[in-house]
Amino acid sequence: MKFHWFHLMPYPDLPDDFREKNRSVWVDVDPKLYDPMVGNQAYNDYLDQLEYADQLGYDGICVNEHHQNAYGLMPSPNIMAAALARRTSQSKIVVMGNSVALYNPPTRVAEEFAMLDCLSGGRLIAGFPVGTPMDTIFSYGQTPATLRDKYREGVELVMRSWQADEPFAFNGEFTQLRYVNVWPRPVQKPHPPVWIPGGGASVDTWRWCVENDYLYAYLSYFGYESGRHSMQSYWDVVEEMGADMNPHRAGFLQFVGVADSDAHAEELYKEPALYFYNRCLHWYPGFTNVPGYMSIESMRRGLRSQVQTAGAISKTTSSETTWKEIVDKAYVVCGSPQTVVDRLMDLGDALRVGHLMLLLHFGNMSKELAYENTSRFATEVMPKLRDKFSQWDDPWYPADPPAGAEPAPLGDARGMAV
Amino acid sequence: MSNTLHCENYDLPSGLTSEVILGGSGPPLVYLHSANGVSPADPFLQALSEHYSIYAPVAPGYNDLDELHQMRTVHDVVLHYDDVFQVLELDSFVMAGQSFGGMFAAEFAAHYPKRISKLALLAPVGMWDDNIPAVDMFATPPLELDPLLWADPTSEVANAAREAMLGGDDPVESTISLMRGLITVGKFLMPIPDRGLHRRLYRISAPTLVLWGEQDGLVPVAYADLFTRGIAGSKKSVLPDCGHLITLERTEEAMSQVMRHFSA
Repeated sequence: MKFHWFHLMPYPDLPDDFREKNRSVWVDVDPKLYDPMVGNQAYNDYLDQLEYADQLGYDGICVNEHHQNAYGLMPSPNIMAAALARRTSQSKIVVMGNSVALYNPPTRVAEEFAMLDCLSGGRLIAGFPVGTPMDTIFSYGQTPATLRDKYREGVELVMRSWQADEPFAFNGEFTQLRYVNVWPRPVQKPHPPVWIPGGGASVDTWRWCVENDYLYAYLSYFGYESGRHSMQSYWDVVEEMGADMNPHRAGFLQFVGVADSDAHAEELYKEPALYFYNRCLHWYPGFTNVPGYMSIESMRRGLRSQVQTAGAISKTTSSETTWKEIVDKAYVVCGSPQTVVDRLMDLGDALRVGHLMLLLHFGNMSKELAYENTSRFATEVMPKLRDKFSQWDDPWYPADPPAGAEPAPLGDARGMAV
Repeated sequence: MSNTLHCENYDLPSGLTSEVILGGSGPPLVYLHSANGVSPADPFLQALSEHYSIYAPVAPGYNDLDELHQMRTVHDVVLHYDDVFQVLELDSFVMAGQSFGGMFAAEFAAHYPKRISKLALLAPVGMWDDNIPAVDMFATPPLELDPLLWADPTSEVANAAREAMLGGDDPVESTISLMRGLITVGKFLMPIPDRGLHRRLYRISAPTLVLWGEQDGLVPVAYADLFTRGIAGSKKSVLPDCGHLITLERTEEAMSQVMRHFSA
């Protein structure tokens, strides 16, 4: 099993009455709530935490893209990834990812990802999410009728642009370019590993991932218990399509809090967890359920099975979340190191995921606690789960860089100013 | 009132198929439907069918979202309707359109001004004014949106429409069908319901009636003036006790105003 340290970069200072006074943390959240000096501190603390994870041997450090969102302060994850590429050396840099339909032209994504792959010496994992309706439809003005087609066409263009050995013309429905010729070229050949983050509801996304051999990562905020059904449906699709059942073709997001004991966990993690679930997930339902964001097939499947497809969507319409619910339903897996090991072992078996994305900082967690959680997980939990799935190879993870592609020594110029 | 209307499918030279609600007798009247779609049971069309031969094509996308691949812009949709009218052998006619259909009736009349002898726009969409922000219908959950559509959301007709929308023999397929409609509409109205109609309105030469519900909570009645200002010689009429769904909430008045306009 591989472990990726994932930062959402939430705004840490939303007021106590945020839920009562605002209809949504996303899209039309009150701009007056943002204090740039809080932002200055938060960005630097958050980058420190990701760098710390690199030092402690996490397999990947993850950043992602959100727009007009107070719990996700990375409209451009590539800027964060660039900062990390210079200050880390071991962890792969997982950009989860760029919502391709929002870039005009989408070759911008191919260019910036190639820059990151070169800068990091072949450590990039390239994520291509469709993007949530809040990001794509309401913040970036896409129409549901064309979003997915535009996204697929954009990914096709990016992939071709990385692999073509000559400039080519691209006559798409959404992008027309006479000369596609991406410079720089990615270090990893034929291209960096491609991961597709999703909300666990799209049958056609699963099929597309299997067809193209992309990793599928279910980014749920509601823990592995509620992720069972979706992941089972994903594996059914993998099996139906005759692909191998390699656990490394799947990823899952899980909140984790390591403490001395289960009781100690409440003391440490209750406040940041409640901040996340009650303020950061305060989404206006009108933004989550826009017609056409899901394909008709996925919608029909969801309606027919009466299953609440994307857990997040149904969840946000309900009332305040309690700590008991957070623990009982394993939204946050927390407790003593042994408890966490047991539950993550269970998660691995239940969901069959070889890549675990960990939220070890969440909500308004202090940086001291984030360091402690990160460190304890690395030393007391990770080693006991390392061997899980080690019998499977992992082509969805960057190979060691080719000779000569190691990052240049850092900081040559330091101290040279006169 | 007996049901004189029925559906027929027509193969078009484009390769698409168009479903058309038709029937009645008299000179031809083309009707373009609102986001809710159209059926032979439509009371407004039934009333008009006593005096006119009704032709109400189902908008492309409504039956099959794949059709939208060929409808990249409003111009493609206008050409599609022209294909439909050619197959129906309709050359010149009176035209009415409601809401989303009102926008495309105006578009058609702006593209082919000589073919429309009279035009009636019932609470059309397709215009935007920063000073009159309309509700974002795509970001409003259905149960919050519904009361905005009616002057009296508790009326019998409003209740019946709500029930039809959410229920039917197969609630899942009713929902899917409603979604197909909203996805289609969204393609031409999101994120801002302005695809340039205001630049083309001057081309409309047909005498035009702009009919609006005074309590329209979706597109404020002030938008009527944007249309009448843009279309020379057009006239505005505002119905009291009426919301956005004019032909459902005030069927009789809508029908008599449109009839009077067309026969004047």
